[in-house]
Amino acid sequence: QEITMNVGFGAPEDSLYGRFGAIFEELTEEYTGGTVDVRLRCCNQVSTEDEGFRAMQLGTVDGFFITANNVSPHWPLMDVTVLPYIFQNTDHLARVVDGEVGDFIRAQLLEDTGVHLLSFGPALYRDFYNSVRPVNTMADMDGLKIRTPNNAVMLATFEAFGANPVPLAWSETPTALQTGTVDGGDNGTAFIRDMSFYEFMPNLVILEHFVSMAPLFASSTFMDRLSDEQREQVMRAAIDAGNQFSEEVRTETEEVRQWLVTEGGMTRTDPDRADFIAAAQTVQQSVAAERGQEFVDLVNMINAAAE
Amino acid sequence: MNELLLLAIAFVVLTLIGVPLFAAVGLTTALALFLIDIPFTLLAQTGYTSLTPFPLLTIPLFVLAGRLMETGGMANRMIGIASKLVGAYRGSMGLVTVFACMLFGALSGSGPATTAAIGSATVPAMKKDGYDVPFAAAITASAGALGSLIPPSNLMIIYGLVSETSIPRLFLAGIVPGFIVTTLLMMTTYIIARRRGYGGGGDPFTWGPFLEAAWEGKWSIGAPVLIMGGIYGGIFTPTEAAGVAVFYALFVGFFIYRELTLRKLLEALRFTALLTGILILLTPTLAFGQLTAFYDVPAAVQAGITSITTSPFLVLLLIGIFYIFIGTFMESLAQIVLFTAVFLPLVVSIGVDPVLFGIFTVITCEIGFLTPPLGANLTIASRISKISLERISVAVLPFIGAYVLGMIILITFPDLTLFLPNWVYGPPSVR
Amino acid sequence: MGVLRWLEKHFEEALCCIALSIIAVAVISQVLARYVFEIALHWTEETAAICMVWAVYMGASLCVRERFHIRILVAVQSLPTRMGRYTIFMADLAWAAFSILMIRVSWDYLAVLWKFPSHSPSLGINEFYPQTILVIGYGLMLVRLIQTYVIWYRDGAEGLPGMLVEDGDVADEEHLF
Ligand code: NA
Ligand code: NA
Repeated sequence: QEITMNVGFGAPEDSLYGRFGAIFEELTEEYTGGTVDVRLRCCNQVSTEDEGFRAMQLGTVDGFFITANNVSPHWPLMDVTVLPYIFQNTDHLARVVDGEVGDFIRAQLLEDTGVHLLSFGPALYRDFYNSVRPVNTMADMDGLKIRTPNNAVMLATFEAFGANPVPLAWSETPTALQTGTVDGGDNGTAFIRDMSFYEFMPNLVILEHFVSMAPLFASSTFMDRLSDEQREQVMRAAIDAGNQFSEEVRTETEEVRQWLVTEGGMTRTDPDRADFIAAAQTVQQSVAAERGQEFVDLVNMINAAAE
Repeated sequence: MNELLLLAIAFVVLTLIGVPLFAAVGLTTALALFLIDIPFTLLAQTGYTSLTPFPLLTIPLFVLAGRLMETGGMANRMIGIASKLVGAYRGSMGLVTVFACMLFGALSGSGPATTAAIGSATVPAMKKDGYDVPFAAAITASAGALGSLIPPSNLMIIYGLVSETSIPRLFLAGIVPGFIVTTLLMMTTYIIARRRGYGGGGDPFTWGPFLEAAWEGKWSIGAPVLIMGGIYGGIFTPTEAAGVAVFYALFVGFFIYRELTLRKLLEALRFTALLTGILILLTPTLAFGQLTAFYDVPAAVQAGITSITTSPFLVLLLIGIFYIFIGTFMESLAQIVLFTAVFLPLVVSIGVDPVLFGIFTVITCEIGFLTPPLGANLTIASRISKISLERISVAVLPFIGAYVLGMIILITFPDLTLFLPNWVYGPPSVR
Repeated sequence: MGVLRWLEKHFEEALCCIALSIIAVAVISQVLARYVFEIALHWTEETAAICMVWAVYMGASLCVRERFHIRILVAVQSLPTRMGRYTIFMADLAWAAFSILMIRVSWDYLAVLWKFPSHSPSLGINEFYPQTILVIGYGLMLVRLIQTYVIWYRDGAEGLPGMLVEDGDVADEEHLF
């Protein structure tokens, strides 16, 4: 009997989530021999990203791609991946998600929330942009009104960088940037192109301060409907899709940045990161101290994976 | 498709026996959930979360602002300016009504609120000039709808929210269509008034009295300047503009015109409370909108329509006819929330700009304001003029004709709508 | 007694007006804080959103009391009185059934919120508490619906229950958007 898996996401069909989803769909249907039918539901059609996690807990949606910072309200430990400069480089990140830390996160998340993490997905760096000036040193961040998602860690990070963070809902963001209510913001590189922010944000700053993860989750209701064999096949499909897509994205990010400079007319700067990393470490420490032992332990596990 | 037919029948039957619309949509949604085995808790989740998007706040805030501007004397100043400008022509009071609605539309986000604000003063005036009452009521109802087309506009904000279209672009795009429809409405008024010989009682236009009225009404004219200037100057977002409008109305009403009282403020809040309650309609509507995706309705509609035609003009015309039909009995917000998700992907795929589709949607909603049985402007006009809905429904037909003509002009010449936003913000991005 | 009677008349209205006032103040504070004092307020958006939901549900209950909900009565009114009355009974029964369904599923939903707590990003409050309005709101609406029947029966059970019969222009009130 064919089982339908409704997988939602908040971005358009041809976005990164949509492409990741398409690979997952193909692999799942291949591995399960067509017994699991993945249906991708783009553009907030079945639930917004903010509500997607809850929808999986309720069992109204079977799977969802959710940016990590939108998981934090439901599972505060997720904020470790939101910490600035928590991953030293792409290899470190890969070791974390594929290793015991990744396994620990999956198990703990399932226990605390009843939601399965199928794949961490590609690592997307958030690139910073603004309309005021090129940023070459941390001093250039001073006083810039920066839109951030409503996430305490992100707010604290931009404060530590010397900017003036303004929490704004995504729905208000394009307008606020366009009219100059805020001076800038940060997003996954592709978003800057897809949302045409380059039209009114002349300065592109490569800080790689946040890794924006868009993991694929699945509801317990759905996973329980599967046979043991199907469950293994779906999980394998998710992991393989994640790896395959990460590879694609890695080369692409640099292409998009080039595009933003040549076609989009943005001025790119690659500031020295030492000051930013130092500021980020104070944020890491203060957040960890605030969140308690469990959080500190996880940060330590991640740091240990760097060696 | 049989399931969809069953759902449609359930909805129509429930609506016809008089179940309140929100409960009818809710029960239909529950049936839809049952049929494809999705937990009913989806209704509870959307029951809360569909009301939390920040831009939704503009609805109560603009209603409150409109009421405060009406009872605080700002609406009367608008009428004063309009009558000095167009008061001398055939059908003068009718033209004054249309013109004043256009002015008030620039500070109110809501068509029905505009009808109430201007009509409560001009309908009695038209009666006094010997107008046929249904005609007077029809002018007010149709001109009041301009409040939703001329920025700021609640309907555009909701459309922008569900379609992720830039709200400042939508606002700019509404200006030229707003003038076109105003002109069409004034022509309709003039032709009918001339045929029936309604008088031009006012003085011929001279600069002196007009400037005097404009000076007297400077604080009223100041509102659109403040709101639009604030949005385009980057001082506040379109959502926040509604909050600014409330406090501007309070300030002018209490300290400049001194026509507001605490009692009037409480009355305005109570009035807003009732209208806020109706928004509960959004909660099951949004749940149902999510379900149409599970049922693959957008894809089916897309395949169905593109198999008939792929000409943008004809597709928009088909959707327009459908919207006007739906708008007879569906509330405008519910219409936008429910059908934008269905039709937008289709029209974008054949090259229609989402901004144009937004303005098009708003115009069809305005026609919906004017068609019975559920036409918000008609019911208000009927209360103001104290005549039955049926009599206005007949008198409003020529004005509906004007709106349909306006709609056809806009889908024939998309640049009329798009050149202003594209000129200010550059051509739209290819998504 | 006086207090109870006042609450019976004005409870939802008062709460709704308070919520609306908080929304207006939150929005204007956000603008003033950002523009005049150059600080970003973190609490305004969430506060306004919570107040919005509460205002809508309180308003919805008020609308039951004031017969203000949008419903199409052309068909019902064109029927003979007895038929019309039975039809409206059925409609109200369906309405009550929907309210009961909503109370039930909201209860289940709240149970999930209680089991897997989540905290709002800026105020840090447990999402469970503001969302109790679902049960409260539909509960109030159900009570107000039953109340209209009690009053209708007490007043001699004439005409259609839950309708304004004083002036000719019934139920179909202005709804301004
Ligand atoms: Na307007
Ligand atoms: Na209508």
